[in-house]
Amino acid sequence: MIPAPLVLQDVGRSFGEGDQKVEAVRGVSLSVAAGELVLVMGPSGSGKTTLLSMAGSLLPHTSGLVTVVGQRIDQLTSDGLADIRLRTIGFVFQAFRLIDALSVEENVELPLNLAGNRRPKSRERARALLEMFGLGPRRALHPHALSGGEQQRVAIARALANDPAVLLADEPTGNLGARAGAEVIRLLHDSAHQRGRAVMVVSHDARLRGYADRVITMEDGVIRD
Amino acid sequence: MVLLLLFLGAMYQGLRSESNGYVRERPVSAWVAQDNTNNFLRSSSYLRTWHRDSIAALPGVARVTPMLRLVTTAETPMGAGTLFLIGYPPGAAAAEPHLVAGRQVADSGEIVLDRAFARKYRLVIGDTLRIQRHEYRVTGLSSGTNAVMVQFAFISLADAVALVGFRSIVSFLLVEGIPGVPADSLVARVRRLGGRVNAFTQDQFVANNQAELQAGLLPVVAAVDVFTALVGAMVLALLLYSAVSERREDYAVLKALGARNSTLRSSVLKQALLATAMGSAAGLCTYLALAPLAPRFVPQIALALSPMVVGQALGFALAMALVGAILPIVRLERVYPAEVFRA
Repeated sequence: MIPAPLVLQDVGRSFGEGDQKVEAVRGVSLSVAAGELVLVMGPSGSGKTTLLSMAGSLLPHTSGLVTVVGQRIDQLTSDGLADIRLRTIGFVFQAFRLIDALSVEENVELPLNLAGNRRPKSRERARALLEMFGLGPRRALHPHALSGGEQQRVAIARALANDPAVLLADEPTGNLGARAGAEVIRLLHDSAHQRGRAVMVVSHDARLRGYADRVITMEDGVIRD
Repeated sequence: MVLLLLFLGAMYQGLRSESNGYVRERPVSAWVAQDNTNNFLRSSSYLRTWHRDSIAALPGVARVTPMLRLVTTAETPMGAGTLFLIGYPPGAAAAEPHLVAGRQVADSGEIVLDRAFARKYRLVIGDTLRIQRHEYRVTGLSSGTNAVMVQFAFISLADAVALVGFRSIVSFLLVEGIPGVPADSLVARVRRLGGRVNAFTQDQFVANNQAELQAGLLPVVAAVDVFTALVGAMVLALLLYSAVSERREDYAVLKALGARNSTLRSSVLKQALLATAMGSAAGLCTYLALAPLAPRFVPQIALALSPMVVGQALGFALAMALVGAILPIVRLERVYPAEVFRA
């Protein structure tokens, strides 16, 4: 049996100390298999984003284990964490987080260049992704010139640039209208089912339920079902 | 900042070259001064005139030229200025300054002025100025005779003696040896005479003057250079710090995407180096454009830009970039990748 690319075992995260201590996530165990789309839902403040941050090695966990493609992330140095984010994990954010000083194409090239690819190769890959997402003609524009839906598609292209095994999305449809949101949902779904990635999506968007292989609900930092 | 560093360096080099130029260009074997005097620029020296005869009688000595030096105030139509006045026997090539215009002093009542002094007080050949109620007509303009704080002027020895009021005193004796006689042996012979005099070879005397200049000026110039570099580093640090702060979200995104801290550090360092390189190029171009104009506004300034001065300025600029990048890099280290989730 192929091990799941993303495994969280009894993971917790607390902030502050003593009386001020707040446990944002407690004892969460979860694994996302290759080709699976897991949707994490729950009210604001339930710990969804904290969980996603720990799964993506953006925030260190204070208890439990997080394993990404077989690698325990608590055993990695700062550079090791950066490398695992660069080569193994793709991120999609609610606010897109594209770099406005760069063109659409340069935004998609960014992870490829960080991974040490030569410019012609990274440009070719970026163009191919943008073409695939219907953004070829928009590649020279800067993000602010695009609609929200287009920006999120660019963000997904950037997340997929280094062909990661794990794709993490935080409220990917939160800033989008119905049509653009549906397009993004389709891309995430394809990414899991056609490309075999482990996709974990944190969202309030009930439309995503129909595309998810599993839906997990969080409340007060723990999984309720 | 680089412009200021270049200007300071060029001024220092110019000062070194100009203020020691007269001493350096003397076609003599040795200088004789009062005991305990080892330089021309920052010393007093009084010798009795009979020393000249004693030294002239030494074997190997071809000629001895007396020189009387005094610091005095000259009154010009444009105001009073201080002069380093040098009296020597007209026609004595050993003491004559290098001229850029006119002719040497040939008689009493004539004066050769440093060109910077003449420019500062708008004097030209043929004009007159007064020193202690005596009038002197300008016959020539000299170079290599500008010590920035004060400029040299040349009159006849008889006029200088009259100004001082003592007939049997001179300041220095310039000794020319017979061809083939080593300067060292001439110096040794003069020293053996005793009589509270000291002698130096021309090379040694030039070096003494150079050392005297460096001792007086180098620490000041070095201190100004260091402060300039520190101010530059602080300005650069603030600029880059602001840039990092403004782009905090972008840096958080880069970290989230997998950029290593070392990659981001080197990016900030590159920005610091690029800003410094552009500033250096702009400073150098501005210097090259403005330097020829400087003497028009401040005639006594002597600028001499050398590869060493440029190298030193660039060295300070590099130090500015490296020091200036520290604070922004510290700021950058405190950007966390999880900040990408902030609304």
